[in-house]
Parts: sequence; structure tokens; C-alpha cells
Amino acid sequence: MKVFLDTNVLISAVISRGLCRDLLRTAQEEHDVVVSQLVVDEFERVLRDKFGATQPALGKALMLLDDIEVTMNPTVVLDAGAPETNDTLILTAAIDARADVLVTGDHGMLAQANVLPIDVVSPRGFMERLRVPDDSYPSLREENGGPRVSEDRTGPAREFSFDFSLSIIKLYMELQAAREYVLSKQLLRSGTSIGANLEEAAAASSRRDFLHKMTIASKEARETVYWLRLLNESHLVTDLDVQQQLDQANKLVRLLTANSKLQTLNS
Amino acid sequence: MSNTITVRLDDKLAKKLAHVAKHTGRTRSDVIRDALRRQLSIAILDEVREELVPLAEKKGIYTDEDVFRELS
Repeated sequence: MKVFLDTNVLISAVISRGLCRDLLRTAQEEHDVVVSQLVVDEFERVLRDKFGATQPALGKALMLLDDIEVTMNPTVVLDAGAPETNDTLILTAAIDARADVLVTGDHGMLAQANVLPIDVVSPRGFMERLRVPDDSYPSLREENGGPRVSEDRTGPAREFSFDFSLSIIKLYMELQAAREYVLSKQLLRSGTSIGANLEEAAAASSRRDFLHKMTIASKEARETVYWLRLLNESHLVTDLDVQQQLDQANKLVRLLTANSKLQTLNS
Repeated sequence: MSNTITVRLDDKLAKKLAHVAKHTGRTRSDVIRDALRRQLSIAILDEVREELVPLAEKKGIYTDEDVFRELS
């Protein structure tokens, strides 16, 4: 489950006694926690200005957010019918982040929960919801019980990259036969690692891990295009046609770029 | 940037680690990183609270509800 935490929940987690401390831990361990930049800024500002937190304490507090996904503030603010601007911003950010639930201690927002376009619950409501047996949320967990990216979001690139690896291996053998030993090795490494990284992305243990692997796959695809172009235009090996592989590599770059745009939109 | 550190494990802990890694299909390094990340988050949260909870108490803020009232 993707859980958006409001600033007041994060602040409570670090300064007061109650559920929020456990909630932050549980949410981080078992779910994907997401906040927006606004929440991070507000968290820092309130701790500093309202509670007089020292700079070192603030640094440590921010370290707690290291493993949390932080989304950019939404550029378009929805009219969610909320009375306060800040509430509207938080609501919009949570919707924008595709959160399944927004946890807040804000009474105004909670009072309106039934008319809001996203599931809004109190910290207590959230913890109670977690007590529901896991099998009520079959999509949330894999069999090993770990939190993870719920579905394969690598897109069509993954299947395509396997065939591409095969054609790169074939090309590598041709290059070796033509005694081209330097570029061919580079090409073999980058060309086959696209698929390997997409496999790793498909099995990623967290969203951050997923995005990281996808980024590497994308970089490797670009590197492969580079080696292929070099082979093509340097005429190191005569009578060699790598146009087909070049087209395929360019297609992979396009697929991965499209996927990364999709992920950005979804985050 | 990546760092490599060597850690000595006693037999029991090493056995547990091997078991969990095998059971979850992850590498031992992966299991260690994950466990460490969780444990450090808890340690840092405790450390942060040690400094911040007294500051809040000085302002008369003790419970989550006090925070919600103060911030809304």
C-alpha cells in the first residue's frame, strides 16, 4: 500500500507520545511511504521554528526521511473542496503521488473524509486498518511477506531486451571472428546488461530499488547505441552491418525513456 | 558510492542469515543491508526523539493530539 503521511503525523512521530511513532516505523517497514516536498519543508520548518530544534537534530530528523519517496509539489492544484490552502496542497500531492491512503491528524480534513477524492484516515484509523488480516489485501504482499513493487512495471522493454541480448551475442561472435576484440567486449557488456537490469528491476525490493535499476538499464541502452554507432561509422570492421542492432538499441532507449516518464507521472 | 565492510558473525547468526537469504531468495548482502537499514532507522528515530521530545514537553506538548491541535 502506498501511504502518504501528512506533516503533523511525521512531527508527532519525532516529538510526542502516541501512535505516530509506531505508525512511521510500521509504514516504513511494511508499506511504501510517500510525502511531497511541501511536507519535508514543513517538517523541517516546524521543528526548527516552533520547537527550536538544533541544526544537528534537524539533520538527524531529515535522515529519517532518507528511505521515503519524496515527490515534487504538484504544479496544478485540484479544487478538492477543502477549506484551507495547505490542506488542498497536501490532498493534491497525495492524489498526485497515487497514494492509496493519506494519513493525517488534521481534524478539518478528517471531518470531510467522506467527500474527499482520496482515502483519508487518522493515525488510529490507519493502525486499525493494518490489523485486518493480510489476505484481505492480496496484492499488497508477496509470499515472503516483504513490501515490494506490486506489479511488473518494466513494460515491454523487458521481453524485447532478451531478444536484443541474443542478437548482441551473435554480433559479438562475428566481431571476434573478425578480430575486433576491444569494442566488441564493451558492446557485449553494455548490450546484455540492459536485460539483466530490467530483470532486477522486475524483482526490485522497493520502489527506489526499481527506479535505480531502470535508470541503469536506460544508461546501458544509451551506451550500447554509442558502441554500435562507433562500430558503424569507424569502419573498423569491413562488411559489417550493425544497422539492425542499432535500430533495436534505439528502440530500447525509446521504450525506457517512455517508461521513465510514465514512472515520473505515477509518482 | 559503495562501501565494503567486513563483519564477523558467530555461527548461529551466520546460519540464520543463510537461512533467511535462502528462504527469501535474496543474497546475504541484500538481507544484511535491509536489516541494517531498518535497525539504523529505529536507532536514529530514538536518538532524534531523545532530543526533540523534551523540547516539545517544554511547550506543553505531550501527545499526538497536542501536536495536531498545535499545527492545525
